[in-house]
Amino acid sequence: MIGNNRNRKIYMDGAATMPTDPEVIESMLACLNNKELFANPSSVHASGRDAMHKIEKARDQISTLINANKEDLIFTSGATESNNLAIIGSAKFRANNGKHLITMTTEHKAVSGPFDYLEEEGFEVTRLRPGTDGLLDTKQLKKAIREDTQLVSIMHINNEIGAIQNIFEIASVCEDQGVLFHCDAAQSVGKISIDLKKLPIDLLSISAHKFYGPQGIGALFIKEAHKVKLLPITHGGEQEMWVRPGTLPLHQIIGFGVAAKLAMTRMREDLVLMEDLSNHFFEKIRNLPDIFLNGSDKSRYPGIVNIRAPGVNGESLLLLLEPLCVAQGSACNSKNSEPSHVLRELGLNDHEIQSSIRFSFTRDTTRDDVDFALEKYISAVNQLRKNYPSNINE
Amino acid sequence: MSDFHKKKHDIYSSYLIELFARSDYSDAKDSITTNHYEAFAGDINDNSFIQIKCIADDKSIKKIRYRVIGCPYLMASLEWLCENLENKCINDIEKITLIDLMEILKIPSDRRSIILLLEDAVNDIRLQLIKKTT
Repeated sequence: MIGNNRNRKIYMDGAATMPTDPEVIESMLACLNNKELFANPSSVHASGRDAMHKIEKARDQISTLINANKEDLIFTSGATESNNLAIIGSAKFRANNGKHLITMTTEHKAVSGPFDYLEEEGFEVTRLRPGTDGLLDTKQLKKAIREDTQLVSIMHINNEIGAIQNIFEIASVCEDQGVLFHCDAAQSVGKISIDLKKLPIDLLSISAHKFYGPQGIGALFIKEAHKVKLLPITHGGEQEMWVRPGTLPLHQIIGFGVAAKLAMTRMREDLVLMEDLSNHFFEKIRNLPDIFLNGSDKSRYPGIVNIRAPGVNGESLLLLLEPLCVAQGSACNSKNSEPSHVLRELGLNDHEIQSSIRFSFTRDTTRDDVDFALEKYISAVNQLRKNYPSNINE
Repeated sequence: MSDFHKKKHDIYSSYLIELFARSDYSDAKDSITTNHYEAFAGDINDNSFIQIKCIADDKSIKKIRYRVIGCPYLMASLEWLCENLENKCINDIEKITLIDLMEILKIPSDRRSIILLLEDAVNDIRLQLIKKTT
């Protein structure tokens, strides 16, 4: 396997970051090269106003993608900051009404981290566990909501296993109970349809680089933002509705807007491609012994496939798979050698978790890439399994 | 080895990659099936478990092979170990200082337990061979 002569890089780590679309790059370069546009968007002179017009155009493009009012969208540095601002900002704003918060055990670190912080600050956090499919039973949520519950935060598409939560049902439960609902939609915006005129979501985090936009820019949707439900977590300026200070990065925001515009036109086509790649993937591994899908197959974003091969060490598998770019879990957790908390919550043991690999496709992935990836994967798994210890008295 | 694996790796040393890719002493490649000594170490549930098998006469190890489930550091360490133990006099086994592998293969300090696994298995094999000769 390691001697395979096909050495081109194949990127299947789209859940970590998507390749920036050429049209996005072009728009950003055009902005950076345009001296007429060089200005701080907050400046009141003509160039500043021109820059602000571009910002507002991008805000419009992104709002259109999620069918939200553009006045309800603020720019941030990415989904991590959006999550921090939404969770910490709203919890602190409402602290006088109660200090009980609800989230799930399978959230991304960018959500669980702020909750850990709030817990240290005296808030009480209930962490709901999913079923073995990674999905939340909303009956659990109804039971967990109390008189003093102020915020529920549950992600839309799980970054490790692709499980899609029934966000409409979850948001409706929160609306009925009068509890604020935040959704980390970093993995879903631009990939599946989100209509915030229909979904009763109060706060929604968005990341540009998860849907072919630039890294380092994101947004937070705040329903009826003019009423201000958040306390800022950073201080030093009035940009972005007094909630998020800092100079707006014009070229990144322009790229973000173009990525949103492209997502509007390509989303359906992209989703069809993801479904085709996923079906092709499973068709190829269907008859292989002891390869299992982690998480739900019924409610799963098809662009993320997380499988395990017991009897194999994931780190050795990853090395054998190079130059294929796949992942053992969240990239944001890769410096931590602890096994994936998401897979553990599905009921997998350490051995099963460490034998798991996530394949996540992009718009550029082809069936040929899937064939190549699986050829390498199957060969590597067989190679490692062949050398599995024998006659063990466990 | 592919050209890609010949490239400098930012996590693993080139020597480690070479040993990992080579696996000449893997029991899957050239198996030992009969009249052998064997030792196990590690925990299969931790995804870190080794099996060492060898054929020996009264004086030396004639053939030694390994089976393993583990990370690239462990796999490369076993390849190195077997290369250094094959044809070695039984009395010289003790002279191999496994802790040097940390430097030779650039094993990070948080993976020190790999050395303990190897030491356990080597010691087990050595005691079996000494017992046989006395």
